Amino acid sequence: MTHVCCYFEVHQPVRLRRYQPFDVATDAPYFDDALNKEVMEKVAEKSYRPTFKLLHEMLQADERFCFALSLTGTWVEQAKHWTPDLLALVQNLVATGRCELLAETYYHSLAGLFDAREFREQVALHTKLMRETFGVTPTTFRNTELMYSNGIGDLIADMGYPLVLTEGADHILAGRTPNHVYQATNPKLKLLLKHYSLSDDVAFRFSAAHRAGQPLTADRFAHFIHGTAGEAECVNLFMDFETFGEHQWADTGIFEFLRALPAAIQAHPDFTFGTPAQVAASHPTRETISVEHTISWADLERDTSAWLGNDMQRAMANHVYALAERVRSANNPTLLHTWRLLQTSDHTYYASTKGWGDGDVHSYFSAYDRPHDAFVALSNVLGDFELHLPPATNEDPPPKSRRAALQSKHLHRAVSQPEEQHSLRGA
Amino acid sequence: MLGWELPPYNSGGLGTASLGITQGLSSLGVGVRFVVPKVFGPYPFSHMPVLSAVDHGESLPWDESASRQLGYHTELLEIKGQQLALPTKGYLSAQQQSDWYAEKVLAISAKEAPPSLIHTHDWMTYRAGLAARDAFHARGFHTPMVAHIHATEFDRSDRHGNPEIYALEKEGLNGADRVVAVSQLTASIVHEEYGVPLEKIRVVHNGHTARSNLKRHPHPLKGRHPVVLFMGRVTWQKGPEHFLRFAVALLKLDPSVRFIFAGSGDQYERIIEQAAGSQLSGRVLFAPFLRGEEVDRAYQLADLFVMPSESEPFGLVALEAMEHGTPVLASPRCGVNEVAPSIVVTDHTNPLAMARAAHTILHTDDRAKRLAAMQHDLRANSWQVACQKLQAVYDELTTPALAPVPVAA
Repeated sequence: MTHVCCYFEVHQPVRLRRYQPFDVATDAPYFDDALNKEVMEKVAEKSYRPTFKLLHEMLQADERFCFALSLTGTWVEQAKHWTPDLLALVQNLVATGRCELLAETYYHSLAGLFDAREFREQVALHTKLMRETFGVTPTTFRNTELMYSNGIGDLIADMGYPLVLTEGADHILAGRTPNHVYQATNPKLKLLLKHYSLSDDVAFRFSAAHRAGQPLTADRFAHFIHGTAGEAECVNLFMDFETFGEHQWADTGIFEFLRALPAAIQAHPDFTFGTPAQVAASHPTRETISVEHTISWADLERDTSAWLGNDMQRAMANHVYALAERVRSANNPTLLHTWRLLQTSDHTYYASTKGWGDGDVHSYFSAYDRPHDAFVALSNVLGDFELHLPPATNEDPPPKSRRAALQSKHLHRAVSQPEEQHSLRGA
Repeated sequence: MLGWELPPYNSGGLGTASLGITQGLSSLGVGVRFVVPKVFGPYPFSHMPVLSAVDHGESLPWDESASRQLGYHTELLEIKGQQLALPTKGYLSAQQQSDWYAEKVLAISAKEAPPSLIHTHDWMTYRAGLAARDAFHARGFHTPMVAHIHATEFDRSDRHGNPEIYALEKEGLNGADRVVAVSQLTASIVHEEYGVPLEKIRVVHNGHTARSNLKRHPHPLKGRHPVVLFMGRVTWQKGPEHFLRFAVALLKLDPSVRFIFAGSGDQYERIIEQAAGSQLSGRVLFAPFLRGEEVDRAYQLADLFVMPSESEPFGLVALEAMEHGTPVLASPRCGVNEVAPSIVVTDHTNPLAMARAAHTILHTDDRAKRLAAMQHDLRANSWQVACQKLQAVYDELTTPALAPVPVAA
């Protein structure tokens, strides 16, 4: 039996305001509530609400249909604020027992690349949120934008997750198909790899096919999937949830496509659906796949260059993560939460300067006219944010004497690390 | 008087200087009628009528919904989100802009009583001034033309400027009856690069309008961190790259300094990338082009104003900064240095020298002494003083006995 494994990512960042120099040291807000509310409501209307409802109908109509969702903490928080009915719709899905919720970082952050302690804390926060909001404890992990490497795998395995989803990038597969359960270099961890060409047929190419007069029907797509019969144990279709109704608009027929998919796929007797956890439990684990350099599901490169590809992006991320010790030593839940909101990967994604097709995807998601404005927004915010932190060792006012400088450095180092504080305060 | 912009609908110093000159002249009893390409809205002054060129003549009516492609001086015509665009699709050359304005000004001149004199401001207006002078001349009137030069193409772009603009400048400066340069620095460029004989050039430094009701804008950042300000178009001329290198050097001497970088321009993106690559994130705070009260707030928030210009014919902003009590550090290539000795002048291409000078001003300066020196500079450079010199130039041209240079036939 081949399992078709669908996983949809549900995420919205908390976007920054166009923070100005004059805002620094005032109480001006960092985040653009009006814009965030507008986006959340718009996407709820076009995608979340109709798709959650449709998926629920599909679960009721076909008891073999199942799938996975991953909901970021920033999405859940914003849904609570502005579109609370969505949470009830997710609860309905989870209540069927056939919608697996995945674990990830609460803030959809790059912490896995920069700060192991921060990564673990954000995953713990996310798990707590899933438990408190939906009554389930995730057992399968997906990192921000499917970023994965052997090192990230070790972090994930150490936290007790037996399974992680990532990209079926050509260079890590080296000729193999993504249609099996693979072993990570960490012996306690298994990998499920995205079938990117089939996933992208829906996520990226659906509208284009529609416009070209060759719409992708559920039957045609099922026919592609059935082509893997005999070889595949799983076909992993991973994509943004917003594919349905937002990236691909309703008038392309995307909802009809989704509705018809379970029957079309199961028209072949060897095919059915499985959640990630079910897939991993149902099939033997194949050979070990090693990922030396971090991969992701973004852009042609399938690496981290979508977030860290230029000086602006690297400066943004380095600056945010360089504040870790100062934020922790401030021992202030509000500051910690704010710092974490600044870690959301979308902020650096908007500052990408890639051209061509990938650049179009970046600007599609961005509210900025140009990538440089994204850098400026975060940089100006950080100019204020640091005012709220204990001084860095190199930030002391010009010392009266060398001796005084040494003393103050010494004092700062002596500050003990406070107990970790987790904040679930709203944005 | 033929201009290109007036505050508040201006993109930079040209508009500010044009207004100051007319106010100074009015206070001396000289009547001025001022022409701009288009009157965008009401002006907060009443000392002179402002004529909107767009409302005159036949050819090429403005079409504000048309293409954004305006050619070189796009920023001059894009003001507060309002813009002028010609219905011609695509590129509009400097010559075409210049000719458009000349055609409009000729239409205005035909309906006007001849003035005593035509005063023009920078290359966009020279051809219009020459055309109007010749038209009045044909009607039998002697109306000499003054070409005021606020900035040359060499200031804006070094030796990589637009040859078409250079040609228009050369035509206007040589065709004028007098050239008024805003500094000795500019006078020497006009002489050396444009071949204008020295006896035709007069230097009238810009002035400054003292404001009686200067509003204070307290800011919570003031006093918490030393703040250093850059404000200007982000172009080669203004030396934005030098500012960032200086910022890196000053942060090594004093990590608590914060920088405000306000402006936009063709080097904006490069500068942002350079700031990111120089670990200046969060240290240099970026603001878009500021205007009105925001400019005052920026000067007041700053403890030091830095003008690292490659070539600044005058640099009126230095006097504006001083009016708010903010000391000025400038490159040696700023005309204002000639008349304001309180300005600290340092090689703008030497970041460490600039940083040391800035550090001294920020931390060990005799503040009272510096303020007194700035007050002295402000008093010495009023528009009224400047316009007395300008009036002397007018007198040379309009008093037959004092007019040794005959009007070109």
